[in-house]
Amino acid sequence: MESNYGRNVRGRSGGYSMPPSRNGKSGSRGYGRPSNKRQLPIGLVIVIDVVIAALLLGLFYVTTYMIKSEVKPIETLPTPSAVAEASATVPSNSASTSPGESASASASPDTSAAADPSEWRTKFADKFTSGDVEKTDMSYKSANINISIQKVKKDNTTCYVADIYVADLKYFKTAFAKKADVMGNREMTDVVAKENDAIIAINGDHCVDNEGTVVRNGQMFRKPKSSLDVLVMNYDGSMKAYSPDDFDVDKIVENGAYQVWTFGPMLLKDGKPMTEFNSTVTGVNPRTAVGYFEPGHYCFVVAGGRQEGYSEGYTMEQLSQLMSDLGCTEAYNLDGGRSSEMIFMGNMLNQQASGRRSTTDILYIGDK
Amino acid sequence: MIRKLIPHVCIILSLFIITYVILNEFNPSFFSFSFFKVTLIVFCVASSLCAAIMIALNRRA
Repeated sequence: MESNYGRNVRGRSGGYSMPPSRNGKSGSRGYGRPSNKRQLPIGLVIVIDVVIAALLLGLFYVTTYMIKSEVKPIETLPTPSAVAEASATVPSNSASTSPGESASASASPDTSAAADPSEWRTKFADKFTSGDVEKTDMSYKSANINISIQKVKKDNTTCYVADIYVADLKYFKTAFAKKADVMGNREMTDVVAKENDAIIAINGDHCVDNEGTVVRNGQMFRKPKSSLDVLVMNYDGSMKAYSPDDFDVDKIVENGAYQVWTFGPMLLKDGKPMTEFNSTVTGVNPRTAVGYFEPGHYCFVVAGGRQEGYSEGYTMEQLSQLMSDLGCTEAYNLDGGRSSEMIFMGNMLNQQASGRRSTTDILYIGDK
Repeated sequence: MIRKLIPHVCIILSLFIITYVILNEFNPSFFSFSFFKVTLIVFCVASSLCAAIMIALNRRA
């Protein structure tokens, strides 16, 4: 007697109305025919699938994280002087813009010389020494830099707030791991800080493993923007955080920018603390943030976390509130978790409970 | 051939996604990476195909 299964499946080979073959068996390629081929046990098949998945994941890990992929700068962005020269050659009638155009321009990074970095030394004269260097465990004062660090305990979290004044933009720097001119290496934050003679350093945006625009010291390493918020530091020392919709990468290419970080989210909106963020990582965590008061005056903030009783960490909302309480007009979250580190004079100030992680780049203040 | 491969692709991709979910607990930016989205889309397509094939086989049985 022919089984129903055999009959049904036989129909597959030529349609449901196909008559049986002459010998009464199902079609030559039908599934109903008992196969003489020995099949592997189902358990073994699944184990093979698991092994293949593990091998592919291992391959993914090796290609993504272990094989060094160095990214060279794709272009050098124009400096303010180059932009000024270029605009001087433009016919004067192009200076008049429609209201719509001016609104669009206001959303782009400002490279105007409204806050001339050369004036910072005079403006913050009381913050700098005449030439001597005064150092303590939590402060540094020289003719060019003033750093004072406070250990703040708030919301069951211990955080370090570094108030920073610089006499020139050249003292606010970024660096890639291994002191390289290319993006792609990894090192511990304190090692990168030491290699660059940093007085104070914090981890950056971990740009290698992220997506989005990357500009470091006027050189663009990656152009396409991502869905993340962006922080732009202009040559006049100003900082401005942008949502992805407001950020125009072509304006950056056209007008130039000193630094562009992509991680986020932005922590302040019009100087006010926020409650909703462009991030999925808004829970309690160790945090690193950079804050901006005015050109020449910045702050680095690192909050420890995952250490019950000592430092639990901040939610994004708490961090936003802290940056607002400090008086920042712009603030931006950088890579956190095990990456969060503040290095001052070669020493790591915060504690990492869950182990440290190497970083790809740092923000630092250097006197050289 | 596709019918034979699709279930295995589903198993492998589901293991990928489980691994990503575990990694995301430690590195919460993982879900925002494009490779995760690509894996998820391929997995969705593969599992849909697998489900369609199963439905067709069930109807015939």
